[in-house]
Amino acid sequence: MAKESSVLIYGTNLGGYRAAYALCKKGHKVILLNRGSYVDDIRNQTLSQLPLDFCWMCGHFPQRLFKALGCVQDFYNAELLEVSGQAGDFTVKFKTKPQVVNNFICTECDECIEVCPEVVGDRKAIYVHPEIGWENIYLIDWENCTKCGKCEEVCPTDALKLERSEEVQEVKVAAIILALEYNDPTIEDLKNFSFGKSPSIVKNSEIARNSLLTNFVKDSVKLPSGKIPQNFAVVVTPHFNNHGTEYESYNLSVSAAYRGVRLKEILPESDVTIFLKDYRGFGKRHYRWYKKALDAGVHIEKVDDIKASPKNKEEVNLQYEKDGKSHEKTVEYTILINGQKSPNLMKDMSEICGVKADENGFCNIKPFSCSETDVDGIFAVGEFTGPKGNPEAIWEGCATLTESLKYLGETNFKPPAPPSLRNVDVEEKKIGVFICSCFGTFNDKMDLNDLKETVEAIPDVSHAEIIKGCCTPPSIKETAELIKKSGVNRVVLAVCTPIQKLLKFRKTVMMAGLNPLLSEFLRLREDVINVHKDKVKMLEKSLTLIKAAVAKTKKSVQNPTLKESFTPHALVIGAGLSGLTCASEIADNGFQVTLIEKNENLGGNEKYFDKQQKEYLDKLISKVKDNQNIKVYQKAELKRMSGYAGNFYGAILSEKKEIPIDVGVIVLATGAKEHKPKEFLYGEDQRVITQTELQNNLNGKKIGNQVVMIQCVGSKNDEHPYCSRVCCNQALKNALSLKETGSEVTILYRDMTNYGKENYYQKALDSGVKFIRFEDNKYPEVKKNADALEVIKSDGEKIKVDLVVLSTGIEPDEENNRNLSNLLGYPMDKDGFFDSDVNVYPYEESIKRLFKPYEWATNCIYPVGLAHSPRAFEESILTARDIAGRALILLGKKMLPAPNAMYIAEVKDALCMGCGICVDVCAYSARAIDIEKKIAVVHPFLCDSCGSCVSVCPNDASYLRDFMSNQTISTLDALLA
Amino acid sequence: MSKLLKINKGVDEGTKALLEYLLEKDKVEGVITLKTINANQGICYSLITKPEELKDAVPLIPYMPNNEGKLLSRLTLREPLADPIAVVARPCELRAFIELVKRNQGSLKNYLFISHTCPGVYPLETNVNGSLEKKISQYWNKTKNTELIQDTRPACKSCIHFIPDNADIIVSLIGEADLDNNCNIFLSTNKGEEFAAGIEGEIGEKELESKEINLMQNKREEERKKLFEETNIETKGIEGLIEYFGKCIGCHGCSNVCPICYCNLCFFDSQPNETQPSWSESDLDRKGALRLPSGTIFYHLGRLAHISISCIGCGMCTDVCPVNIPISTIFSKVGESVQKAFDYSPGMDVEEPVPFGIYKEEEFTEIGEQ
Repeated sequence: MAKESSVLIYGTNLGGYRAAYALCKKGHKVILLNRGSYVDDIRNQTLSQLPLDFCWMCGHFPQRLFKALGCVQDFYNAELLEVSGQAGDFTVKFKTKPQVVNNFICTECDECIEVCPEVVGDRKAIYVHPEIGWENIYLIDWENCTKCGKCEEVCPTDALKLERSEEVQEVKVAAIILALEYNDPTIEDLKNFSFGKSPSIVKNSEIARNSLLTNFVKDSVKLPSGKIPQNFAVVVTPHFNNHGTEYESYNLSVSAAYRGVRLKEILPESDVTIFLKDYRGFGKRHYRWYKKALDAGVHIEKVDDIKASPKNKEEVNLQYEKDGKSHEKTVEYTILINGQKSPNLMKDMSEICGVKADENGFCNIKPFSCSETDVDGIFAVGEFTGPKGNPEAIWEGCATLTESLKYLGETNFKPPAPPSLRNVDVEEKKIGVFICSCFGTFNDKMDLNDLKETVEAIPDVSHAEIIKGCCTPPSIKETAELIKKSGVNRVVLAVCTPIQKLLKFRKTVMMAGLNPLLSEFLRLREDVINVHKDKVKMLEKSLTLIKAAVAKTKKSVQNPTLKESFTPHALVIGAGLSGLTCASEIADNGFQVTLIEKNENLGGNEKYFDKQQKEYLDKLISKVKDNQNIKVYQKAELKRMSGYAGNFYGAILSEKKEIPIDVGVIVLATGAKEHKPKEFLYGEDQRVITQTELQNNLNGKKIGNQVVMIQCVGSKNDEHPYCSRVCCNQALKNALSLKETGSEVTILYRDMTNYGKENYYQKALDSGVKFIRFEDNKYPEVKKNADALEVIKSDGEKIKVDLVVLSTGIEPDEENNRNLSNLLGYPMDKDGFFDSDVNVYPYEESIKRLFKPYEWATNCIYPVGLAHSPRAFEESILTARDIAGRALILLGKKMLPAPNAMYIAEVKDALCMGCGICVDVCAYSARAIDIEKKIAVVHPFLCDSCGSCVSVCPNDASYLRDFMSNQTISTLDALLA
Repeated sequence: MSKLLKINKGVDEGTKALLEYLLEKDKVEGVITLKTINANQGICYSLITKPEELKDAVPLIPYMPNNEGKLLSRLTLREPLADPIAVVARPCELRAFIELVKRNQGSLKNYLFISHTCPGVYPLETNVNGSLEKKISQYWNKTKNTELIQDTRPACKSCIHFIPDNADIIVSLIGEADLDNNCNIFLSTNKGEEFAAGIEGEIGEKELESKEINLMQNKREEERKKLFEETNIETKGIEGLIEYFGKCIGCHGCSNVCPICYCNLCFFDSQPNETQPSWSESDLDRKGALRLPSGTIFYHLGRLAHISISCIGCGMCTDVCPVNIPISTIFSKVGESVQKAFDYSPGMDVEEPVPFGIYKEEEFTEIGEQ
C-alpha cells in the first residue's frame, strides 16, 4: 500500500508549530488546522511561562513564508470531525471557516480602521492588538460592529471578508499530530488568590502579552488609576492549589524569578517578594536566575500556604503560613504565575481518534517515546500531553519528525528553484526608483506623482515609477515585470518596513532577474507617511531617503549566494543512551553514522537505570550493533576536527590508529557523571551512601530503622550552580521503597524539585515520610559519636540514624568537555556542560541566533542528553530525537545555500594583516586565519552578517557585502547633504 | 628580590660583555642591538651573529632609530624563531612587541629580552645635526644623579613605564652612581638566569625598585602632568584638533613609524581610500572650500580610535613629524583615558587580551545605556 506523504497538525502549540517547520523543511506538506482565526487566537502556553515577554511563535514557524512556498495549507476556525484509516493512510474530515482578515494578503495599510465608523473607547470596532510590528493582526469586536461593510469596500487587496461560509473538508494524510493548546485555570480555580476581584491581581501571561510591543516597562504594571505600584508580590499559584486543580509547568519558578528581576530593573526602589513553596527551577541555567533574583534584592519566601484578598481598591492583603506561623503582608500589586489545567478537548480527541488519556487527564504517550500516542500514526506534542516547559514542547516538535518518518511516504514538497539572476557587471549602471502606493492608499496622503517627477530629476536615477505594491503574490509579480521592462539594473524600493516584508522585497527584485544586493529598501510608510502631515516636509524627507538609497545602490556590487554540498554522514560522540538513540534514529533513515565511545562498553550510565530502562537500553545497543549504517568504534576518541557545518573533516583515534572521517553533523553525547561527595563522612563510614548505592541495595528487606536523606549534595552550590534535576524524584522513589520495608525516613531538603507524571512527593507525604527544610547555606552535619551515627540539623537538633543517604547530583565531565570544546570550537556553558541553542529560554545573551533556521542554530554541532544539561532517562531520549530530527532535515540535502544567502562578510586580501582580532570577536566562529596565506577567511555558512568583524578591523579589510564602507559613507553624505 | 649580576666594567662595556658571552658560548644564535655604521654617522638596529661584529655595538646609546618592537614583530611574523636570539630593547619597545604579539604579528618564542631602566632617548634630529655625541656625557651624569634629562624626547621625559617588566635581564642605569665602572645586571627571570649562568662577575641579590627609581617615577609623573596640561587637548573639541593637526602635510610618517599601526598597507594609503569626486560634493556644498588632500582629521581620529588602547607612548610619531605636531602627547593622553576605561595596561602581559576582542556586560552601562 502506498503511504501518504502529508501530515495534519491540529492545534497551535509550540510543539505543533515546530513540527510543522521540521516537516516542511524535510519535504513533507503540512495541513495546519488552527482552531482560532489567527496565529495565536487560541493561546498556547508560551506566554504563560515564557518570561522573556516575547513569544516568537512566528519565528518558530514563519508561517507566511512557508505558505508562500507552498508547503503549508492552513485552515482557520477549524474543528476536527472525523478520523478514519490507519497510520500512513488516514482520512480526516474537518470543518473550517476563513479568517475575517486574510493576513496572508493583508498589507496592514490600516484603511479598514480609518473608515470604521464605530468608535469603542480609544479604538474602533476593527482594531489591532497588540501592535507588534512584525505581523499585526486585525481583530473585530463583533459586539460593536454594525457590519456596515465599509472596511470590506476599502480593503485594497480584498483581504477582509465580513461574511464567510463554513465548509467541511476531507484530506488524506499519513500522520496526525495533536498540538492542542493548554487550558488556563479559571477564576474559580484561582479563588484563593482572588483573581478577577481586583485590578491589582493579574496573571503573568497578561503582563507578558501587554509587553509584547514595548518590552516590559513601568507601564506594563500601571494600575487603572495611573499609579505605578512599588510593592509587589509574585505568587506561583500551583504550589498552593489542590492537586489536580492546576498543574505546574516546568518553568514557573524561574518565571517568577525572572519577573522579580525585571521588576527590580525597571523599578529599582520597589519591594518585590516571590512566594513559592520550593524553587523548582531545574532547567538549564534556571538556578542562576534564583541567584540573580536574590542578588537583585528580590525577596524569595518559601511558604507553606498563601492566600490573597483585595484590601481596598489598590492594595492586596496576603496571608501566608511559614514555619508553622501565620504572617500578613500588604502589597500594591500581585502577579500570579499560574499553571495549566488538563486539556478539556482530551475527551473529544479520545472519541474522534482513539487516543487515550493518562491519569491526570492529559494525552497519554507511550513509554520511551516522545510523542507517540496509543494509536499508531497519531502523535501528540506540547502541553496537550502534560505540563512541561517551552523547551521540552519545542524539542518535541522535531522529535515528532523523527518518530513519524516511518509512517510517511516519499517527500512531496520541494521549494521552487530561485529565479536565475542576470550578470549586470557588464552593463552601464542604471538605477530605478519604484515608489509604492500601497494599492493606491498612499495617494490620499501625499502627492506621489510630484515625488516621482522630482526623483526622475535626480542625476543618477534613470527611471522612476509608481507601483501598486510588492508584498502580495500578484503585486510582487507585477512589480518584477515593471522592473524588468524598465531595463534598470539597480533598484530602490520606496515601500514599508522590511521588518515585516524584507523577504518579499528581495523576492521581487530577484524575480526581476537582479541580485538583491543591487537593491535598497526605504520606509515610505513608517518614516514619512505615518509621521508627517506637512506635504512639503513629506516630499523633502522622502526625497532625502531616496537620494541616500540611490547613493548606496550606485556602489552596490552583485555577489552570488554561496552553495555547498552537505556530507550525508553523522558523527556521534558517546554511546550512552542519548548517543545510541541519535545514532539509531539517523541510521534508520538511511544515513551513515560513525559512533565513537571512549570506554570499552556501550551504554554509558547504565548502572543508574532501573530494570525496564536497562531492557530498553540493551535492545537499543543490539539494534545499533546490527545496523549496517552505523560504524561503532569502542575505546576511541576524537583526534582532530576542522571544517564547518555540513563539511567537517577530521580523524578519530581508535586502537592507536588514526581513522579519517568526513561528516556533515556532529552530535555531542558525551554524558556526565555522578558527583562524588567529599563531605558527610562519605567514604569514611559505610552507613553513609548515595541514592544510587541505596537503589542497588534495595531488595525488599529492611535496611535500617532510621534513615535520613540529604538533598542537593553537590548541586545548587558555588561549584555546581544548577539543579541536577533527577535527585529529588530518585530520593522520593527510594524513600517510598524504604517506607514499605518499615523504615522511618526523613528527607532534609532545600527545595523539593519533584516533577513529572507521577506525584511521588504527595505519595511520600501520605506514607509518612518526614520532610524538613534547611536554608540554602545551612547544610546539616553528619557526625560519628562513638559508634553511633548522628545527623545534626542546622537548628542543632541531633537525629540518631542507621543510614544516611546522600542525593548526589550530576556533574559534567569538564575535562573531556573542554577538550572537545577546544577541538570543535564549540562553546561550553558556565556550568561545564555544552552550550546549546536559544529556543530554550532564558538565553538572552544569544538572541541573535534566533534569527537563523533552527537546524543551523548551533552550526550542526548538537549537544544532547547529559552533555547538554542534567536530564532524566526519557528526557535524554527527547533531546536525542529532537536533534536526530534536526540532523535528518539537513543530511538529506545534497546542496545547501548559506543560511544568510548572499549577505555575508568578506575580506580584502591585500589589506588584511591576519591579526585575528576579527576571529576573536566573531560570535559565530565564522572566521579563521588561513594557515598558508596568514590572512582572515570567512566561512559563509557560519557568518551571520552581524558586522562585528567590520567594526574591529583596523584597516577596513573586513566588509559586509551589503554595507561596504564606501556605500555607508555615500549614504551618510546623501542624508546629510 | 632578584638575582643581581655585578660586572666590573662600565654599563656599556658590561652590557657588551654580556652579549659577547652569549654569542661566544653559543647560548644564542644572534644578537639584536644598536650598532654604528658609516663611521658613526648612522646608528641602527642590527642582527649580529659573529662576536667580532659587536665591536661597533652601542647597546645603550640614547637613540631610537626605529621602535624595535616593530622589527621584532616583522622577524617573527611568518614563523617563530628557530633558535634563541638576544635582544637589547628599551621598555617601550618591549611593550610594543607584546602588543603586536597579541595581534598575531609575531612570536615571543626564542627571544631573550635584555633591557634597562630607561633614562630616555634624544630626538632623531640630534644625530642629524651632530649634537648627539656631545650630549652623551651629560646624559650619563644626569642618569647617575637621577635627574630628568630635559632635551630627551618629550615622550621619554614624561614616561612612567621606564622599568622593563617583561625583560629577562635588566641593566640598572637610573641612579647608579658608579655606572662608569660598575655594571649592575638584574636577572629577573629564570630564563635570564639560565642564559647568564657562567659569566664572569659577582652574583648577589637585590631589589630592583630603589629610592632612586621612586624619585624618578615622581619626577616623570610631574613632567607628564605638566605636558598634558600644556597640550590640554581634551578641552578643545574639534577646533582643538584642527589647531593641532591643521599643520599636517599628510605624509603618514607617524603611522609608518608607529609600532602599533601594524597594517602592512594602511587603508588611508590604499586604493579604496582614493578621494572620489562625489565625496567632496557634499562638503563643498556645505563649506564652499575643501582642504586637499582631504580627510586629515579623519586620518588622525582613525588612528586614535585604532591604537589609543595600545599606545605605549614611545614618541616615535612626534619625533618623525616634519611639522612638529605633538602627536605622541595627544596619543598618550587619549591613550591613558582609553586604557583606564578598559582597565587595560598595554604591553604588560601577553596573556591579557586586547579589549576590542572581549565584551564585558558593564561596558554597556558605562557608556550610558541602561
